[in-house]
Amino acid sequence: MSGEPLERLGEAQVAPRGPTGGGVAPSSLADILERVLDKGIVIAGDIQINLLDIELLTIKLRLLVASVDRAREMGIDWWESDPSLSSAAGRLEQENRTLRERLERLEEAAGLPAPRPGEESRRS
Amino acid sequence: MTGGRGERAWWAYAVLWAADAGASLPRLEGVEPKSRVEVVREGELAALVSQVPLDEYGDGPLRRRLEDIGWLERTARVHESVIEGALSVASLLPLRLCTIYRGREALRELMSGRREALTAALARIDGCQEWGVKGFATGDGAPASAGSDLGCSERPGARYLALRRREREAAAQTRESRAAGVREIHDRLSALSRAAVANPPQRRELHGRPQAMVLNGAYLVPRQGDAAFSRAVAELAREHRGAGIELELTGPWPPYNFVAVPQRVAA
Repeated sequence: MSGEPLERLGEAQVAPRGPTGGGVAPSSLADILERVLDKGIVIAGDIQINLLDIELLTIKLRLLVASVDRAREMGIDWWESDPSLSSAAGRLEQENRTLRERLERLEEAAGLPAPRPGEESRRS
Repeated sequence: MTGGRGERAWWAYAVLWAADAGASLPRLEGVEPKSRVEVVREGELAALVSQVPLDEYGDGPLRRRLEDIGWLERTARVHESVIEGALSVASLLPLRLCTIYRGREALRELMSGRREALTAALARIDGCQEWGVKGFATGDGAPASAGSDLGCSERPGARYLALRRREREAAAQTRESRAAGVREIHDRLSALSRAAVANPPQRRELHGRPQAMVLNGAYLVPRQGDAAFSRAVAELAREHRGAGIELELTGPWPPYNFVAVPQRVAA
């Protein structure tokens, strides 16, 4: 089952990001939260937490995961205290950087106009 | 709010066939550090649970902890990893985060009360896993092609407008062919699945990539069809790269997207 190697497919990002065990990158937090908060079977428990309340939380979370760099500027560095989280954050950061660089190369090559406000790349 | 010191509650992860909840289940740690995942049986059904202290997981304390983003991430990851750990040996119904019972008896009553709905849901997903396929729009903003053939260098205004119009047309074309591509991808993957759903795309802030998400599909695939499914994703990725779609495959997941059972309002 899990852990079955997935091919790397040309330029396509077909990465085993899901819960594949053993040595593979952890699933993205976005994918996990989307499932455990929003999907999954709902049966009545004794402790009734209305998960609609968590909408507030996911908004906060969206802000947090928007940019590791920016969050760090704001002093929100909760993941750094936990090695398992910081490795995930580090990986994300690396991935972001790679993607940003790729995007810039593409924009340059294609002669695209400057990024719109809010789309600037965040150089560290 | 509720629960004196030392009182325990049970955090539930998943419902599965009792026959699958035997010795082959791996040893798993629950959301509370050092807690063991245990099995609660009721007839042909079983649930995976672990103990949590009620003074931390009652209504009030739990609500407060859910406001702690670090706690939420850790808990969500453990909840998911427990279910994933069991997925290797069983088909199961993953439960939403924060399904908590005051005692094992309450959970047994629930399983017997909802027996029909739960066994029907288990039968639907039997032998299947969920795969996620996300599509991202690449090459947005249509390249502003040199524009040398637009002439009129002595009329920069007209030249600019012509350039913009050309950009807009190209962008509209890209959007159209991309939308058609996304539909085709989803249709072809659905044909390989027992069930499929296209979820609303995640926001850019959440998925963390610079491109916009154009497909957020989930597919319920029989285990023997896994290889064919990932081959199809690879093929589709190649075919649609030119149309500005990049695909990302995630999984296998527990079948979160395919376990809806009719809700029954608690008395």
